[in-house]
Order: sequence, then C-alpha cells, then structure tokens
Amino acid sequence: MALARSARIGTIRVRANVCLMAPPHEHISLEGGCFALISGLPSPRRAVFFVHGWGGSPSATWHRFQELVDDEEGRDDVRGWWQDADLYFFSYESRRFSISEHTERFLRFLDHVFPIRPISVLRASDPTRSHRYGELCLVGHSLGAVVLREGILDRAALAAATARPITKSTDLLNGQLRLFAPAMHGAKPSGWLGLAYHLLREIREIKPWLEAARESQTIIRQLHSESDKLKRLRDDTEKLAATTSHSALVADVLYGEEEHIGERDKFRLDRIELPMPGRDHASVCKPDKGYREPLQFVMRGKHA
Amino acid sequence: MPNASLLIEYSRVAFRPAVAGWEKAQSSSEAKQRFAAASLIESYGWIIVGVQVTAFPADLARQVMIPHVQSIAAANVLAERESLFQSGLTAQNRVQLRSEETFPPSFAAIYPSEFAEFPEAPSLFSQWCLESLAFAQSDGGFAETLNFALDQEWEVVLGRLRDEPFLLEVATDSERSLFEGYLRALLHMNRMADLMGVDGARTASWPARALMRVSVGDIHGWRLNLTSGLFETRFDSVTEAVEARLRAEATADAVELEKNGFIRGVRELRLRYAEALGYLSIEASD
Repeated sequence: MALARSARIGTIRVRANVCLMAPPHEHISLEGGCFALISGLPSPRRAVFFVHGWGGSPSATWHRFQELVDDEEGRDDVRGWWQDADLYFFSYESRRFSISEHTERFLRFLDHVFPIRPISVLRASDPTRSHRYGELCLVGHSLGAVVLREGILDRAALAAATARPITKSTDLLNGQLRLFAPAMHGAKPSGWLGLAYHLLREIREIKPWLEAARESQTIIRQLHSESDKLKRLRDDTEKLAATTSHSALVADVLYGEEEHIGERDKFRLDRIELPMPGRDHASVCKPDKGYREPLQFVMRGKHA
Repeated sequence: MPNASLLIEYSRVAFRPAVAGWEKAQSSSEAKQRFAAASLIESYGWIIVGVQVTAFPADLARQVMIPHVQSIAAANVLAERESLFQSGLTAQNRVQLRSEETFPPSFAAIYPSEFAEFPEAPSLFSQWCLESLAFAQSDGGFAETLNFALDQEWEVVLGRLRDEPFLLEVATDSERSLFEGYLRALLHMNRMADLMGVDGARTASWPARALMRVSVGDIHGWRLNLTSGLFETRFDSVTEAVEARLRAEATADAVELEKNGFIRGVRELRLRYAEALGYLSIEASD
C-alpha cells in the first residue's frame, strides 16, 4: 500500500515536471473545417471542446487561444492545465441549418473523439497516443452555447429515460460547461428585414435606421420565435439540473461589460462571473497577453 | 511569438484553395481568371505581410509557398496586366518573386523604433487576417460579381436581387445569395474598421500602424474596391435595391422606415472603412 502511494506521488511529480517542459500542441486538421490541437504529452488528462457562435469560425472566434495555451510567459498552473489537454475546435455552418442539426453534428463530432481518442485522429505513425480521457470541458460562445446546451439536454434526457436502452454515450454529462456571452436564443431571421436586423444592428451608422424596424411584425415574430426556443431550453435544463447531479447541466457564464448583442442572463443554477471590463460580445472570449482571463475561466470557471 | 497554428489554418482554408482555384480557372472565362488571380495574390500577400510582422513563422511560410511559386508568379502577371491591385503591389511582388529571398525584410528591421513601440502588431495582423478570411468565405460571390461580372451578367444579377426570395436555409454552396453577401460585406466593413482601432493601436506610433493597415489595404482592398468606378457604381445600385426591399418588408408590416436613411448610413460606414484601410490620406484619418 505504502509502495503504491509512493509510486502514485512519483507519477504526479513526473507529470508536473513534464507539463513545464511539454512540447507545444500539434495542429491536426479534421473533417468539415474542424481542427484539433493535440497535447505534446502522451496521455493528456482532458479534452476541451470549443463551439463558436453565429457567423463565427473555429479560428476567428477563439483567436489566440491556440497560441496562448503554449505561451511560456503564462502562469505555470494555467499552462500546465492546458498542456494536459487536447483541444478540439468544432466548425459548423451556422447560417445553413437549424440548431437541432448543429447539435446533432456536434454530438457526432464529440462521440468520435471522446471519451476515447481514436488513433485515426492522430498521425498514423504515432498509434501510442490513443487513450481514454479523464475529464471533459465544453466551451461555447454566443450561439455555440445554445448548441452545447441542446446537446447536453439531449443526452441528459436519454440518461433520464431509464426504461429505454441507452445507445449513445452520456459521458459528456460529467463535463464542465463554460459559456462566453451565451446568446440563449436561436438565430432564425424572418425575411430580409429580419436578417438585416440580425446582422447589421451592431453597426452604429445603420443601427438607428434599423431600430425603427423593431416595431415591425417581422422582427417581433423573429424575437418571439427565439424566445420560445430559449424558454423550452431553459425550462428543460433547469428541471433536469435540479433533479440530477450531472455537472454539465450547470454552466459557468462570463459576459463582457460592453455586451451589445445578447441580454446578460443565466439559467437558475448557473454560476455567473462579474462582467469583464472593456470586453464586448466578440472580444470577451479572445485572450491576449494582457487578457488571460479566458484561459483561466475555462480552467476554473467562476472565481477564476 | 509567430503563430504556426494560424498559418496552417490560413494555408488550408485560403491559400491552397486559392492556388487550386487559379489552376482550375485556366480553362474558364477571363472573368474567372481575374477573380482567381486576385484571390491568389491576396493570399500570397497575407502570408508575406504575416511574416513581415512576425505573425507567421518564416520557415513554415516558406514551406507553404515554395511549391506554388510558379502559380503565384503567373497570377501576378495577370493581376499586373489587368491592374487588379493598386499602389504597385504586383510590381513589388514581381521583384520579390525573382529575388533569392522569399520574403522582404521584417517591418521591425526596416522601422525598428516604430515597431519596437508596437508589440501588438502580430496580434492585430492576425485579427485582420481572420476577419478577411471570414468575409471571403461568406460573401456569397459578392466581391467576384461586383468586380468582375460582365455588364450583361450584372444586369441579370441585379434584377434577381430585386426579387430574390428569402430562404432561411441555403441548401447548397452553389446557391449564392448576393443579398446576404451584401449584408455580410457591410458587417465586414464595420468589423475591419473597428479592428483597426483596438488593442492599443490608437496609442501606438502612427507610422507603424499606418504602414500595417496600408499594407493590408493593398492586398485586401480589391474585394470591396470603393475606389473603382465600376465597383462603386454597382455597390450603390445594390445599396438602393436593398433599401427598397427592406423598406417594402417594413411597409408590409405597417412600419415606415425613413427613405434614404439606410443609404446614408451605408455611405458613412463606407467612409469609416475607407479611412481605416488608408484609402484616404493617412494624415486626415489620424
């Protein structure tokens, strides 16, 4: 027993030392515009999935995450956490399909690489790096938050339907959910006016003209449609979060102080962080050398 | 620290498709060839500037480009002959492509004191690069059509735009929407103009910032070429058609939107975008 404990402590020490010296992540292109940054460690502890929002992209939305996870100037504990992680950047065409379809696509993507990372994701010459992850972190921005919550709800409903055989993995229910500027509504424009309203209302030269269109039934229908979607998602998630212990049903939420797209809100049991000064809807999830909070928020959630 | 991951993504999503597009266009119309040449020269330009600001690692950039130098040179010949770019970009490319050095000296080597005070240059460049990429992928053929469509084709396209039905879900890639492409062009202009002034750029010494944004304007400005008479005329026509459609939809809902209000807003946005990319005099914009 004593020997086992000693060996275990030794392993932990070795892992910590390796983290400080680990080679940087390796970029791997995956199907459908998705890509992964595979840890330089042979058996990374965790997988982190990033889901962008409406009109976003896996590169642009998470700009500099890819670089700063290996930044030697960062704090040791933060760098160690990220070096012990494989990062998966999910890509989807937010304009072309419904949220349910985005969710289905995401779940298939996730099931392909989590909880067991298949050899096929990696270079064929390096089969030793296939292994089972111990932790999962799901990170969403804006509409990506809705996609994630729908996916979690989908699998939570499966897990709750005890009379039915479970044919899909429910491992994601034990993951941690981190949401940047979640736009808890679908994007379902009604007509050209609705699309213009959705896309252009952040442009200061055009915003005043478009604001007058808020009175139109087209826009009102659109907002109602979004609200209905939000309400269902919220009710079902809150109900399951209150009656089960699945960690993924409760999110840590972070907005920028200058959020201008969505309403700053959370589901009942979510943990909301104080808004980030000087950050808006797009910039809240983009770390840089002077703004490392996103890296720490993903790592620890609220109180990062 | 140069960002290898971004360069790999840029190569995969933009540069290599641009090379393939150029090669494919050799058997297509002159308009297609011009668009393919402009796209490839822009991609080449982003890599060059990326290395110059140390946003991209030079060794990896060399590996990405070397196999395609002949295609780049051929595209550059066409771009130069057709004057697809302004400010002597293609002439500089010609000299560079004949040089033994793959890349020009870094900006920091040419302007050491200015760029020493501008450490965020690589980060800013990366954001501009990603935004330009996002627009190129989502414009629905807007840049290609407004810059290169023949007059006869243009009349058809403009007529279609006036009646284009709104489809919530676009079924295939071939079903391009000029209407949506136009809205995304406005969004892109707004984002580019905003990005030119974030992350400390306003407090940096202006020669470094001006140099970078004019470099970006040189390689990217052709897509929304507001200094070209043809593009500008067509852009104005689209703006009028779009305002008419939006006002008509609002009127059907018993809401009256101010006539020419949208056109006026777009005109102001254009001005801000043009200033940001250095189309106007640098002194005037700073």
